[in-house]
Amino acid sequence: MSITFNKDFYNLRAIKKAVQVYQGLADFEIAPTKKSIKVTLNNINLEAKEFIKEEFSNYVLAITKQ
Amino acid sequence: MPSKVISLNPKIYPLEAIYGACYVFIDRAYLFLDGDPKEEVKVYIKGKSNLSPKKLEALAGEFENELLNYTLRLALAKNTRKVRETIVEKALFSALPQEKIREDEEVVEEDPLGIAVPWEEKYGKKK
Amino acid sequence: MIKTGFFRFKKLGPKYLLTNELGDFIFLKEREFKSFQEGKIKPESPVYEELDKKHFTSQSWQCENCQQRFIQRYSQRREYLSQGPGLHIIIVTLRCDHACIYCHASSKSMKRFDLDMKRNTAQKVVDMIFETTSPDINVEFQGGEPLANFGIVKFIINQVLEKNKKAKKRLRFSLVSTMTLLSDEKLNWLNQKKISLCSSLDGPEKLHNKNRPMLSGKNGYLGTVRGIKKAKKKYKDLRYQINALLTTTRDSLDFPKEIVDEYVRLGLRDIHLRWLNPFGMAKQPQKKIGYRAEEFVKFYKKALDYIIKLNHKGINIRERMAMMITQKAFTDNDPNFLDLRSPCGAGIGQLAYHYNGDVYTCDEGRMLGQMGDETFKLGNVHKNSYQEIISSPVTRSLCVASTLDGLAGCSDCVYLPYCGVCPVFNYSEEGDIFAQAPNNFRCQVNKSILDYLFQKFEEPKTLKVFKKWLNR
Repeated sequence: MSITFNKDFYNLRAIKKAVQVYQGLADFEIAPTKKSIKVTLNNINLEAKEFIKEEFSNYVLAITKQ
Repeated sequence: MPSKVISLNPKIYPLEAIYGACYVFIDRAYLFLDGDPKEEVKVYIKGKSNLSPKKLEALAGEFENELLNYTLRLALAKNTRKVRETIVEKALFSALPQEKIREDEEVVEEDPLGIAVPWEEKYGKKK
Repeated sequence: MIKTGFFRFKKLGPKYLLTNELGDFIFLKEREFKSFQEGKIKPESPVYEELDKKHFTSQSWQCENCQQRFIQRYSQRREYLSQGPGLHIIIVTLRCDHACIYCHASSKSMKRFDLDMKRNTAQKVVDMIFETTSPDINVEFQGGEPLANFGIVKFIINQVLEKNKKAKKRLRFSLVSTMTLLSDEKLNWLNQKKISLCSSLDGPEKLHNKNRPMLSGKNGYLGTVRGIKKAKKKYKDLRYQINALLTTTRDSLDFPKEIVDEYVRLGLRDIHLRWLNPFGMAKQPQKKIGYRAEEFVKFYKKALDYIIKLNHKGINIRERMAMMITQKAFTDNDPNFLDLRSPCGAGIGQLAYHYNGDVYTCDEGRMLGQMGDETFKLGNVHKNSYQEIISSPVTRSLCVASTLDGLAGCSDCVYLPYCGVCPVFNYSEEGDIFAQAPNNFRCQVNKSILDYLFQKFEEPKTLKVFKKWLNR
């Protein structure tokens, strides 16, 4: 499972912070490129599988706003 | 789960307003931003539960309303900043006892390096 | 070409109403308004003269002393900004012998003495009151029923008078009471100390008792009226008036004339046609006793028209809202009614002290606290200093949230110089201290009443009545 964050709207700092909070629910790999930041999720906790992508994205958005 | 894309003109809706509106909706919806902040911002919005098309449409409509709200308030905040700050400062300042304000002002650090001494006094021509 | 000064406007009836930052206003016919906007008004015309006199033209701001004079006027209109909290509301007990259907105080049984303010708390409250920067102190006793804890009322008054020998503030005391516990002994003491009294009177007997039943089942109306009459007789020689407050419920809406007649019958000088606030017990039965904004405004208009008619017949009764707006529109002396100013009085114009020493931004904030929401609690007299209370982020937030110049819907409203918002009300009703003005009940009511009053100002005979009210 992966999420590609557009660097024009999201920043690496916010993503790293979100990863810290969510690290118990999956293994995260962060791969920045020139225009985006790709986050790959592996070994996702079964209970979290359904919503983790959206909740994680929301969390990053919230931190970006703050 | 179904989602909707809201396409926004950043010349009308500043990015700060878009972030603000998203923040307000974070507990009710899943939101994702993409596109070009100079030309077209795309907001992907999805309900936290499985919403019917009608309900999703309503959610998107509420988001757009909040966006307008935020955009207006941002513009207003910018345009009225000076008068607002003056009024609020005056109101809060007047409610505080003057001794407390003087106390705070009197906490003057010692100045071993002479930083507070004006340049003219330090280096100016002797009259 | 004539240049316009800054103004806000609205179409009211066939005319345009314009207001400016000094609180001056003018009505223009449609054609005049268009000419004015286009800079085409002729300088020799009477309408130009009036526009200039009322500072709507750019030229009127450019004379040598003008700017200084306008700064002075603007400052005078907002003189309250230079003063700290002047109104101190003290809830001396939550015990009450009534169970009013809209009760904001969430009154408790008369046996609950644990809900009385104790002496040590009262002392701390007095100490905090005298930390205010305001040269005026207005101590208002509320409850429950403050007469149920009269010992503490006396203690506080005596302490305040003692402390004021050194502080030399301008003091006022008032006590808000149902009057049913007003014994001769208490009345004598209050009279001797010159304490203003204020009761609640919702109208004729049936209506009053329906809104304000007594826990004992006794006739509350008779007790209140007896108390009012007794107090009026005792206070005859003092300039201190006995006032009464009206709370309008759904049942009141059909009886505007009868309610006014009741106030006249009892010789009460003022009536404040107040709408129902959504705090305290009122929240739950609100569906039963509440109403829409337009329903209240209809009631207000009928009642006010009747009051004006009575005044024309020589019966002197004033409506407080109309009186305050007249004062704001025709003078630079703001009545400093904390609900109707910018910013509002929360924390900076008033403080509310709960029986246990908790301090709130205002009585509305305290009522919300009674409902379990402590958002507007600033601290406690036993734990926090005055500076901590005043510097609280809550105080600051409410100040920002009630400064009309920065609020959507208010900043460009023609009535900005005369109006005010209540962030606590907004929070209670909309979950946000910043109102969504068009949908906000208070905004709808205030705007409609202001529309009505400004149209009334155009009627010379009515305006004469309103202005007379300012002189009494």
